[in-house]
Amino acid sequence: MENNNNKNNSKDEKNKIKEILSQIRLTRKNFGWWIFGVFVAILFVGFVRTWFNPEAHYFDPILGIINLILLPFGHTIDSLDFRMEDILYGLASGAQLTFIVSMVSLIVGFFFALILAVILVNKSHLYGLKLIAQSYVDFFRSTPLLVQVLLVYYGFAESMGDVIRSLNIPMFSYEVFAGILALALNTAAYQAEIIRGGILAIPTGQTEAARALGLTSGQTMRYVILPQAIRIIVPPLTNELINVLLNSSLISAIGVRDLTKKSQSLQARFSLWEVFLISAVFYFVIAFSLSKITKRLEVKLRIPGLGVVND
Amino acid sequence: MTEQLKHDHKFADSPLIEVVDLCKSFKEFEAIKPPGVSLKIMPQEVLVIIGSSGSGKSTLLRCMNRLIEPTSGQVFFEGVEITDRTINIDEVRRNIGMVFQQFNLFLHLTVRQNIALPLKKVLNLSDEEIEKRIKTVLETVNLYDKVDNYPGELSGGQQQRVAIARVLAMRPKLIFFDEPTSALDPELTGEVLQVMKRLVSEFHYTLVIVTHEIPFAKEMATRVIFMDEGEIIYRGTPDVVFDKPPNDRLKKFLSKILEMG
Ligand SMILES: Nc1ncnc2c1ncn2[C@@H]1O[C@H](COP(=O)(O)OP(=O)(O)O)[C@@H](O)[C@H]1O
Ligand SMILES: [Mg+2]
Repeated sequence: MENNNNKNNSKDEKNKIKEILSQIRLTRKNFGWWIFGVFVAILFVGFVRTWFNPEAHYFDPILGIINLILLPFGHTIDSLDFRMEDILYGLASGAQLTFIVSMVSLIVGFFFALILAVILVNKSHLYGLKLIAQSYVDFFRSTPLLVQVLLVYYGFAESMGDVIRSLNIPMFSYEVFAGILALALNTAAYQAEIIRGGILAIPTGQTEAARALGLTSGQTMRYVILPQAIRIIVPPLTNELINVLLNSSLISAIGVRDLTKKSQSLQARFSLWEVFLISAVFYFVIAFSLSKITKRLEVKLRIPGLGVVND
Repeated sequence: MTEQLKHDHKFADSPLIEVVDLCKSFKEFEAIKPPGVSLKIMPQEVLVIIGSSGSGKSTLLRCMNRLIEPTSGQVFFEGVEITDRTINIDEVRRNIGMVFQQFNLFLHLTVRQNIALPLKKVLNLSDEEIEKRIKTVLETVNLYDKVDNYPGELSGGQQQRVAIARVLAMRPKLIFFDEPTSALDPELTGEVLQVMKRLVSEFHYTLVIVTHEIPFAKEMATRVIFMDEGEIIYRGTPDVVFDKPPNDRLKKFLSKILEMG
C-alpha cells in the first residue's frame, strides 16, 4: 500500500517536472517572461558582484546588455559608459514615481467608477444623476487624455495649487496631484464602463433569487452582483491597469518628473536618443510584471462555474 | 429536527394568499389578460399550475411576490395587501420561498454561504443558529457532505436541492416552485421531486408548483389550475383535470404533454 503510494508520488513528481520544463521552454507565449527573467537575473548578478567586490561597477551587467542593444545603432558602451550611471539612477527614480502615480490613480479611479457604474445600471431614474454619470463617462472617453491633464492642471491651479504646495509632502507636488487627479478621472470613466458591463453580464436570475429571499436591492448589489461582476471583469481591469501605467507618460507634459520626463531631461543633458530605448525597457518591465501578477490574481479568484475558464 | 421545519398555521381557514383581478402587461403585450386572475391559496394546499409555455404562469408567480409589479389588481398575504406600494415588500418576501427553473444559486458562494447569506442579512440570526439551520436543511435534502462545495461543482439536481434547502432555511410560510425540474436531465428530476414530496408529506408545507410533470402533479396536487394565453381556463381537482379533462384546450394541452413525455 505504502509502496504503491510512493510510486505514485514519484510518478507525479516526474510529471510535474515535465510540466515545468514544458512551461519554461522558450515559446512565443513566454517570450516576455524570458526577457523579464534575464533582466532580473542581470540585476541579481550585479548585486552579488558589487557585494563581493565593491570596486566593481554595480550596473556592469546591465551595461553589457545595453551595449548589445546599442551596437546595431553604431554606438558602443565605451562612448556612453561614464553617463550611464546617471541615466540609470535618473530613470529608476522616474519609474518609481510613474509606478506610484499609476497605482494611486487606478485605485482612486476604481472606487469612483464603482459609484458611477452602480448609478448607470440602476433601474430608477435617480433625478438626473444617471444623466450626469453618463455625460461624465462620455466626456472622458471622447476627449484626449492630454487635454484632460492640462485642463485639470490649469483648472485647479488657482484653488488647489497653493494649498497642496503648502502641505509640503515629499514627492507630492501640485503637479503630481493634478496628474493623479486627471488620470483617476480618466480611468474612472473607462472602469465605469467595464464594471457596468460586468454587472449587466450577471444573469437576472441571481437578482431574482436574492430579492425573493428578502434581500434589499442594496444588499443584492453588494453581496450578490458586485462580487460576481468584479470576478468576471478582472481581465479587462488588468488591461486598464496597463493602460493607466502607459498613459501616465502624458503627465510629463505638466512637469511631473516621471519616467518619461526623466528620459527627456537626461536625453537633453547628454544628447543621447538611446535614453528613450532604456526608458522603454523600464516601462516594459513594470507593465509586464504587473500583467503577470494580475494573471495570478485572476487564477486565484477563479470559482468553478463562474466567469471565463480559458487562459 | 423535523419538528423545527413543521408548520402550524395560525389562520388555518383563511387564505395565505389571495389574488384579486390581477393583470400584467409588458408594454402593450398582455401576459395576464383582463379581467385578470383571481385565486386563493389555503394553508397546506398544494396548488399546481399547468399550461403551455408563454401562458403567463411565471408572470403570475412573480406578481404574487412582486418580483414583477402587477399592472392592476391586488395581492393579499395573510390578509394584508402587499400590492400596496408603501408596505415593505422585503419583509413579506422572507415568508414566501421561491425556487426557480435555473436554480439561481449564488455562483461565487459555497453551499454553506448560499444558505447563510439571507439568514444573516435578512433574518439577522446568530452564527450558531445559522449553522444549526444549515445542517438541518442540508440533511433534509441529503446534501450535507457538499456544504463546502461551490454550485459549479454540483450536478443540476444537487443544485436544485440546495436551492430548496436555502429556501427552507428561511422557514417561509409557503413556497413557489417555477418549473423546478425543467432544466434537469430526466434522470435527475426524480431526486428533486422526491424532496418536494417530503416537504408535503412530512412537513405539511403549502406549495404552489408550476410543472409539466403530470404524474407528480396527479399524485401531489390538491388543486390544479390550467392557464392558457394569459387566462385561467380551468380549475379543478387533479383526478378530474388529468383523468377526464372536461375542456377542449386542456385536453389538447395534456395530450401534447403526454406525447412529449
Ligand atoms: N419581461 C418581459 N418583457 C416582455 N414580455 C415578457 C416578459 N416576461 C414575460 N413576457 C411575456 O409574457 C408571456 C408570459 O410569460 P411567462 O409568464 O414567462 O410564461 P410561462 O411561464 O407560462 O411560460 C410570454 O409571452 C413572454 O414572452
Ligand atoms: Mg415560465
